Amino acid sequence: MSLSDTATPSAGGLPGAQPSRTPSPSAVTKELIAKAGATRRRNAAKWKLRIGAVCTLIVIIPILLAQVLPLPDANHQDLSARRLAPLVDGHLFGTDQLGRDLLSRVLHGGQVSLTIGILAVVVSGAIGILLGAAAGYFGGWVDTVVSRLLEAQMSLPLLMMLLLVVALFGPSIPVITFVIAIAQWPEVARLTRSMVLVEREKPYVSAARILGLHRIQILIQHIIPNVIKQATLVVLLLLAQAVLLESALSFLGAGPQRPFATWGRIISDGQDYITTSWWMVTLPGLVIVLMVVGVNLLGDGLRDRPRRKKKGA
Amino acid sequence: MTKPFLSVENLVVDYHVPGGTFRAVDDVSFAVDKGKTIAVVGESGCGKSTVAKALMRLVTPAGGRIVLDGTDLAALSEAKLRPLRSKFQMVFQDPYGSLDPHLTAQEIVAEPLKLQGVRSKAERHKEAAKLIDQVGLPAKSLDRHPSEFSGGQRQRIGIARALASKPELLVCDEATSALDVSVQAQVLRLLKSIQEETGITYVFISHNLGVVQEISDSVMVMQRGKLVESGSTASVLTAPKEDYTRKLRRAALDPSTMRGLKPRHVVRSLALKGA
Amino acid sequence: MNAQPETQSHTEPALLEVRDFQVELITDAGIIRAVDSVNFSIHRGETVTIIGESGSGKSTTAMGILRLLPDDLAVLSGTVLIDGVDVVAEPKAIGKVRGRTVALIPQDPMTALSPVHSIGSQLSEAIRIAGAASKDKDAVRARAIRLLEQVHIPTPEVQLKKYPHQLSGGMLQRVLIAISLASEPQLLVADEPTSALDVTVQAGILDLLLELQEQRGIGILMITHDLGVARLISDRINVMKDGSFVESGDVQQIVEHPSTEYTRSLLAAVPVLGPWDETPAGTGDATGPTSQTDNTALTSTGAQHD
Repeated sequence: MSLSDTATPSAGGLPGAQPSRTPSPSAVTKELIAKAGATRRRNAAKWKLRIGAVCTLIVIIPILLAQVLPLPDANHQDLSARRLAPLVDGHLFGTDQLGRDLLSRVLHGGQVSLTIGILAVVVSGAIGILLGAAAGYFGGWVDTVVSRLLEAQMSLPLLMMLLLVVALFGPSIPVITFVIAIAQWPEVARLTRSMVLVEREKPYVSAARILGLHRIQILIQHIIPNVIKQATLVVLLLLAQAVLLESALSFLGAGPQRPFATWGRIISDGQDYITTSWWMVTLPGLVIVLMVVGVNLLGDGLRDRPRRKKKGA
Repeated sequence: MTKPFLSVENLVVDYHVPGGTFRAVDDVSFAVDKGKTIAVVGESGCGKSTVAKALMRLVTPAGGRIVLDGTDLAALSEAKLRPLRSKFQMVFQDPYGSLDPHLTAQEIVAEPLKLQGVRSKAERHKEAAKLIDQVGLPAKSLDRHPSEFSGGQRQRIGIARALASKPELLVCDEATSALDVSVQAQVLRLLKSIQEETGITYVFISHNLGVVQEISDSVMVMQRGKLVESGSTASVLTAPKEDYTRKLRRAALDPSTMRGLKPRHVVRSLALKGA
Repeated sequence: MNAQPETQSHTEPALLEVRDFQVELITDAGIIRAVDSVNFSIHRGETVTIIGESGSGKSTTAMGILRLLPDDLAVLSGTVLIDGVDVVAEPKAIGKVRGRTVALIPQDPMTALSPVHSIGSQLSEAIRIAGAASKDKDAVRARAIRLLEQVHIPTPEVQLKKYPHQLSGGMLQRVLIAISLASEPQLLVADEPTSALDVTVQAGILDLLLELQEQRGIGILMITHDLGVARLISDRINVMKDGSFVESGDVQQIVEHPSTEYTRSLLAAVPVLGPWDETPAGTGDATGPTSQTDNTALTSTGAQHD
């Protein structure tokens, strides 16, 4: 590592009178490798990734294909087929109290829920990363303002605040998206701020200042590219939370209004029939669980993946 | 008598700490001629790294002048300083934090060229490749990221980056302290050959007297922010006048001068003399 | 040469005997042989040093011998006899000797102590675990004070109440040495004990180690990358590279007549300072090297950066 460091070979590289030895046998057995920490961690990450991906895709792919799948219209009421159990008469998930096919409602509702969730997460990610990075890098009053804003928001009861905003501005999709984004940006900002605080002290940032770069240039060209990977991982994990928040809002009646049928609304509509037609509440709920668990496992697996070090020059 | 290339006069640097200010550098003055090397020696907390930061204007001095080739850098605003920054650059101590991890070696070395006004990307990369070759790294290093290099190789990239601005003054802040002794020797050789070729002036911060002897023409010793002794390297290291300098000199363990088995007397006198 | 040249015949059994010791690490990048069949032994009153550059395996050797490497990472093989007990063959046996017969002086004094416990409480914990004093609080405290005195820390009663962040690096290293002495060990493993310290502070620590060895006859396994330190305190040196010893022998032999290219280049790479004028300038200097007052012996060189 030291003498073979450069392109110019040092004179007489190999030790002179070293007799060649046959290497001693290794004491590492397959059993030991299987029990080793590195193996276990790698396997854990691998399984989390696989299971997470499968769960997420089971939910997302049908949702994406909802338009082309042979399903009845989500809003088509058939009062003669009310509250049918799952797998009866070709309704995979059964029907609700107005005879609407539940699977179709869940998939179409999923489109709305996911759209809101993804948009909200993108907006909160962008706001959070920018504000958090600015707070961490510039410090001073920028940090003070952002941090107090952050803390104030985190100390407010979340759902109450969201309901208040919806009550004031109406439950349209843009408002709901915005409201969820506002709910989530503090967590992203806080994480980004601490990562930027660490990066800021590293000598490569000083080197950039010595070159004469402006502070904003340093932030954008040097600091943010080094924190963005970890920040986006958190943003991915927040997607699950966004979907849950949207469901909660819709459940409480503050979600997108009819004709949009989001997951929360479907569950809310089925409340009265929990004991009689369990599938109206349980099946949409299970779909939410599957997606949230899938996204979280996926995020964990991506985070815990072992870094492969490439061999140096 | 020619004027020195770099002349630092009565430099004062203060840090704000809870409860007041801490004077890290207290009225320090030194000068170095063009093409020569001055070493700044001292133990932790003596202020030598702060002197380096002040020279690079990473901190603003509370007082004093830093006259580089006739211009006083200490009092300039950042806007006025920016066009001059290419004249003075720094090599850092930590090989693991001094390179941006998400860039390739070529990109790291090319960045200063962009600020110099070299517009064409191809032109910048060609120049960067030349510099990387000049510091002794192979061509296949160009597309690699810092994590793929050893400590010594990263320091070479850091030196190439510093040289890309074509500086006249290079401050090495403990540039070899984190390296293995054999790698340190290679990097010192590289620095000396660069000085021979280009006539660049060095300010070399170190706590290692052996390295100082190797690389510097003159040396100044600092303790707790103040200048204790200065002079030519030969005279300060072979005939130190001040008690503190003598203490530092005695504490430097040189295997080639020790005699006998476990010569405790070498360190015992130091332990007894106390502060 | 890998075999240990027997320049002295010892009548007593070795404190530490290492034969064909091997450490393999199971990592994401594959199986790495960090230590490849090393052999050495340490007897009473001896200091054996393993010197090498980064990545040579020297710290791994020391940690492996003390079984401080995680079990799910490191696979040990070979023979390591600590006071006659083979700790590779019987993994559980390490509990009997670690912290008792053999003690560790860790590398970085600034981080080796718990930041939320006082010096006194950490020292007392070591004393109680070592079983070296009765459970009586006063006896433990008295012993703690005595240990701090043995490492030349001034006003030990005051230092007991302090926290690690209030002490300098040199003082902390002395505290670590005091902790290691709590069990009256026969062997000390010192892992780069002075690398993080200033040179003047380093001198005090090395002097302390030499003094302890002179007074108690303890054996020391020293890990370092610094040839000056190795030359000062060793009886024998093992030069390590890429997991194995490329050269082993008496310290003077290795430093003055190295027999392998690697050792030669390592010695050549150390910048030579050469002789200097050790007589102080000016005759009025009362603190010349020949004047030694007893008071200055108690002044800890580690305290100067407090």
